[in-house]
Amino acid sequence: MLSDYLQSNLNCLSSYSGVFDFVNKLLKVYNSNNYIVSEAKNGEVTLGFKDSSGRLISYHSKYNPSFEANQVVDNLYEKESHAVILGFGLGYITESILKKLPNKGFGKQLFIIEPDPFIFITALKNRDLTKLLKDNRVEIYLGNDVDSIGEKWNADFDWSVVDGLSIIEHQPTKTRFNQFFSKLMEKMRYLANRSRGNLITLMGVGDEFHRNNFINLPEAFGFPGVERLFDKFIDIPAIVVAAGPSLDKNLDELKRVKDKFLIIAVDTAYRHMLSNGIKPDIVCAADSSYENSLDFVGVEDEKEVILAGELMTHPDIYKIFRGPKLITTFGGGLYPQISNLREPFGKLICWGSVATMAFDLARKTGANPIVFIGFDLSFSDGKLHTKGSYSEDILYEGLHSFSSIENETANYISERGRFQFLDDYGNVVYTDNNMKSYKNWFEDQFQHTQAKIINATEGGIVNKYVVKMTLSETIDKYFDKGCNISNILKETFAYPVKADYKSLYRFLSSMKELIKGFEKKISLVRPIYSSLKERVADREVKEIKGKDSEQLGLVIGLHDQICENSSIIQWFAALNAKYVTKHSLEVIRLRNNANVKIGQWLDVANRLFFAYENFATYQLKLLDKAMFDLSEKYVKINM
Amino acid sequence: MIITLNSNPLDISGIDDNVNVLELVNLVEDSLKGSGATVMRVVLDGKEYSAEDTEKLENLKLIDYEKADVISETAADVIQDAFCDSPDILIHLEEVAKNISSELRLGKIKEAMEKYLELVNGLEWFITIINGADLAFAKKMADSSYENERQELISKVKEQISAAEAAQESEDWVGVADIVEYEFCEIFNNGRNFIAKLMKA
Repeated sequence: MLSDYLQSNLNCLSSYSGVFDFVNKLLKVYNSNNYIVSEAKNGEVTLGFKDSSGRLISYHSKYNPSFEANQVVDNLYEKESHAVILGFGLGYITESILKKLPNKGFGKQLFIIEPDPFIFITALKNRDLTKLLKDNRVEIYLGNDVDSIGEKWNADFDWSVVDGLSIIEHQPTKTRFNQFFSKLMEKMRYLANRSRGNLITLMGVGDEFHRNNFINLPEAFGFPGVERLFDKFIDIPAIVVAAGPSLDKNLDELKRVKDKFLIIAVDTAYRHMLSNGIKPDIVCAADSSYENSLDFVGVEDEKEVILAGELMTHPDIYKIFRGPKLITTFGGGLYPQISNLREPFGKLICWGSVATMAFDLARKTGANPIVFIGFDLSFSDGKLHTKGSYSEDILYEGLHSFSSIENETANYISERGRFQFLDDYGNVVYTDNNMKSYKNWFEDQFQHTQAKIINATEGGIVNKYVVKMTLSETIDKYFDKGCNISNILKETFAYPVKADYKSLYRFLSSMKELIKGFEKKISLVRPIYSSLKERVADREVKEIKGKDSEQLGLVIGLHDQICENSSIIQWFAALNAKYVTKHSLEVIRLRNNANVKIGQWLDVANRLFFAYENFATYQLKLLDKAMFDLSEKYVKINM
Repeated sequence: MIITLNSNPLDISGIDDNVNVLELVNLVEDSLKGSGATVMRVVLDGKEYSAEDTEKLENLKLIDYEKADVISETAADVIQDAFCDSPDILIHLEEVAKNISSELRLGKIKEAMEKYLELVNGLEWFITIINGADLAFAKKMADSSYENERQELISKVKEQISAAEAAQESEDWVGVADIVEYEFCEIFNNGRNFIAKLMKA
């Protein structure tokens, strides 16, 4: 018996805001002619799709669709914590896997990708999907734009809690959209590697990122956002100056286009440019490390260059830089919590190399073409970087009487230069893992960038989706497209920054109270934990009653409260990503273990409490300092 | 040496060092003309050889063996033997069908199609023995209910093979999987029941 379930399904779909709006629009043009719904032999609904040549493809078994889905899931799903389903059909595979997918309580775990939104609408019209749609573990992506689906999935996917990812293909959908799925898988593999890289970075330097956020906050909260530059340079050429060895070949050419083309430099090229009498319009700084701040030492007096930085940038850079400053965000850190307290920051992508930030800034200003120089991403001509960067200084520091700079450089290249490429001149150039990843990232971005990308490095390994020209040829060709850059940049600073310092102070104060509040609760729960550990550690949860059960509820309840407080966990993870990741996996394992003992839960909770106390000690100091600096500078607070 | 036909002694003269086993088979075959029987195999000192393996038989010298038993069968015998073996074969074909359908539903088209040939050959063998049922079970097949059931089975096999071919051409792999898993398996199951009835009655 077939009936229309559309309304009740739409009510549940409303929690998927983008999908809901999309579906509502498409309902107006939905035509069921090619979507043949019928009754399977076992009474369930089944579906056939008629393609443009009249060929009919069965989407599900005409005999027993749910049994078929169970067979597929049994074969392909091995108890991973997360899954991606390629092809929704009428939802049978999704329903089957939701029965087996562990409920981690940490966000989305099942990602459904359906390239034909009308298939999804057919499912909404013909089956009761309310249970599936109400399931918090589910996320839905409709349509066949590989990039936007890939990026949305990447944003929704929390790598820190993943314990395996299953990819389940719905075969009939794959038959129809084979190329789409191949490209999507490639994109997802690429994003997965990138995200794991980011997670690993966070585990390594999360502490620095997080600390810098608080130290920079009082000052940087009042900087204009880079968003003021967005779309201000439409169709004006921009040059992104990276710090590769080839920069020396054509750096001088920049003098021809000063105040004609927008020149954006990475921090590691900054000193070298200035020492050659060339000032970029904007220098980008993203690195949180002290070493990178050295790129600004010796050039402190420069006041005509604009610095674009992030809250996580090393604080010394903001201290010593005397020119005008703009603030951006990469989306993490304190940004989600304070973004509504001031004018827009302006979000930029930054991944690994600050050149990615510089490129995204050029892209968002509307510049076209975007020209790259010094963009080797390889060890060219036996060199690592252009002269004058701190990276070269560090190499010099390693010298002794029995070595030479050439020797040190050659050793470095031979140790790190795993990959070989041929440049445009037929020379073999070497690159390492990191730079090869950046090359892949850039080429992927270039493919989907509207502006023309010109690689005027005259060397290096970036070849795809770029036009290769010398810088001189580029300037000759596009000279007339330039304009008065400094006038536009002056307007950027012409009006005051909208920033609500009082609200910022209140926010920091409330976080301080929250953190201290949990500290106090932990101290109250500690004796209960110790008593329970002595009495009931070897028993299972279902075996205890009365007071024991109540007390266990208090301990685990506090554990859950801390874990479920997203603000706390975000800061906690920034300072101790390794522990938070490990803890998440421990909790998953306990939840999936039917015979877990109370002692195991108590231990996990206790370890969390200890880690939390360490976090609180460190975090409260950061908060106190930030609040003090804020109140000193901007806020008269009645203490 | 001892030469027998279906374990009954055969008196053959003129066997010298040069006579090969194929010549013996041809001789016996000639003598069976008109009887409806045909030589199926030869057992030489306990080792069995198919009568169709003419090249091998030509290279075997009769004088090298102590005992040669020539086995002949009528068409009815052959069909009856096939009927006796059929339950196991049909069960095996059902398993093959289920494997194929599972692989098709998982997108392993190549693997499934490699096994599909075995299934199609199995179905053709099934049609052959069902068609030959009136040879082996002439009396029983005179009963119209058996004949109707036989015709139904044959018709269903042909219908479903066509349907599977059409689905294959459209690359409707779920459709092929459905036919293989549900229709062919039902045919094999019904075939087993039919054969069991025939052999029991």
